Amino acid sequence: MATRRLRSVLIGLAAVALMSAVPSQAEGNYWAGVAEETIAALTTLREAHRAGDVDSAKKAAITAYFGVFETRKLEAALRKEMGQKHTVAVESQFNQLRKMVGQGASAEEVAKRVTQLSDVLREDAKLLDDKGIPENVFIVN
Amino acid sequence: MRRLAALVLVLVALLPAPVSAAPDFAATIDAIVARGDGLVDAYAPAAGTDTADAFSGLYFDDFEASGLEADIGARDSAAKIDIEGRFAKVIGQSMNGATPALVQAAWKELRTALELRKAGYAEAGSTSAAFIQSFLILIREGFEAILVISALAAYLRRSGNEDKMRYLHQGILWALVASGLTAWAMASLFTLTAIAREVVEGVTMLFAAGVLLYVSTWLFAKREAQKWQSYVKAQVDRAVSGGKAFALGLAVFLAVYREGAETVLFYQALAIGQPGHMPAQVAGFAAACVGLAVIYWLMRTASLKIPLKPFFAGTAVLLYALAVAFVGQGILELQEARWLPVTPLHGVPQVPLLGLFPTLETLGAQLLVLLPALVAGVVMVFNRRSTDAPQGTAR
Repeated sequence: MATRRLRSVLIGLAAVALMSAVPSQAEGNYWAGVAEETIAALTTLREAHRAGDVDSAKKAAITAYFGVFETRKLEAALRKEMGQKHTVAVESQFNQLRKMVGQGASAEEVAKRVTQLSDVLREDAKLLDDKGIPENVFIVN
Repeated sequence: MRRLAALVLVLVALLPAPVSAAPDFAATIDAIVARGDGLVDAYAPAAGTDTADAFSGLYFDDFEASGLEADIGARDSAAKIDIEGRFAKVIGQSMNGATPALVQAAWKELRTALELRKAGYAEAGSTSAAFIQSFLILIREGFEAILVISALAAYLRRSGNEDKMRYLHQGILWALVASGLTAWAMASLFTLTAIAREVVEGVTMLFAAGVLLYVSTWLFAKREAQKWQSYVKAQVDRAVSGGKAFALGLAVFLAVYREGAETVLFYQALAIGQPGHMPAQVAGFAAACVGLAVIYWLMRTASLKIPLKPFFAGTAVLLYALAVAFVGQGILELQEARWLPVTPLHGVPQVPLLGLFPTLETLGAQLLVLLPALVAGVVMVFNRRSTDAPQGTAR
């Protein structure tokens, strides 16, 4: 009786696993999308800075990191998949850009840094997508 | 119990020597709070971007660069995400030029969340902090295991099967050995440590849940005191026969092994993170052993005072509840390892101790495990009513 119940419980567990295993990884370019959104904000930053609009550039820097990179869980995914060290390095690039805007760095310097960071983001997002990392796990964790 | 404590002490003694000084996170939090207070006091909606930018600076240069963020994440990932979210809120509101009252309120939330963490770092690096942290690790990780051990030991004692206690002792000892080996393997062999650890923990938890369910349903079937007394009186000491005794040993093994490797790794991290506090850490560990022994003793004393029938029923329910919690925790581990998908459910709270997580998969699996119990409960009530009625009229 007890064994039968145990068996039914295990079968039930297996059923849940099977039922829900299929649809999760349908989207293959989720992280690429998040990366492009982040890059769009970085591009806004670059252009605002070039135009001398410090306020908009600062806002774009905040949006890139807090509005997209962190909120959309790209940061969490990187931390988990590519390690703490790499993620800290990427995050510090966001911080560098923020500081460059505040300190009035040259447009070329800012553009160069934006390109660097964009390349890294695209590369990392492609890696996450290729590995089939689902976005959901980071939403509840 | 004594052997258990001795073995774990040996495991702790084998931990590598401390290497670096621990940063003073309490001071970091004080600094963030002081600067945040100043920024919010000076906040003006028209210059909101500057405040947002300054808070970004606090986030990157203080919260993150000091290692505080990583440290909070290592201890409690939910707390880290919570604090990050609160930073984002303060920054978002000031960037959008929200009213000072709103920014003030958002900052208060963030400040409280940070100050709560500070309590955990109370005199960070001090002897008392080392003691408390070391104490809490073992109490937290060992609590569920000691519940399983106490319940099963009490069961063996009450059912006249004390001679089978050796199965429990063996289960504990093997689990400690296996935990030590697994921790060592995780630290030195695997490259994908995080995923491997989650898979090992997830599979162990689900396996543990299965064995606990088995033991629980079997105990519940034995709850009729009369049945037991006749069993014991009739000298049917094969009541706990080889296979079932093995199941008990396995239940204990899994309950201890489940968090065992993680506990060893926590202590390793503690020894590295707080060098020079080895005596306090060992004392905290020893105090936690005493704490767990007290829980064991309380359960034992209480169990001897409870009449047989509720005792068996209660033990069965306790094990069942632990199994349900283990199922939730195990599924979550497999989700983290990406073996299972994640479907978030909004509005469901997160209570890790009960294995309650806001995902369809964890809750679905727990519901499946609960369902037979609910059905059995309804059937039982129904049966009792239908059998009680004729007895009532006969009297």
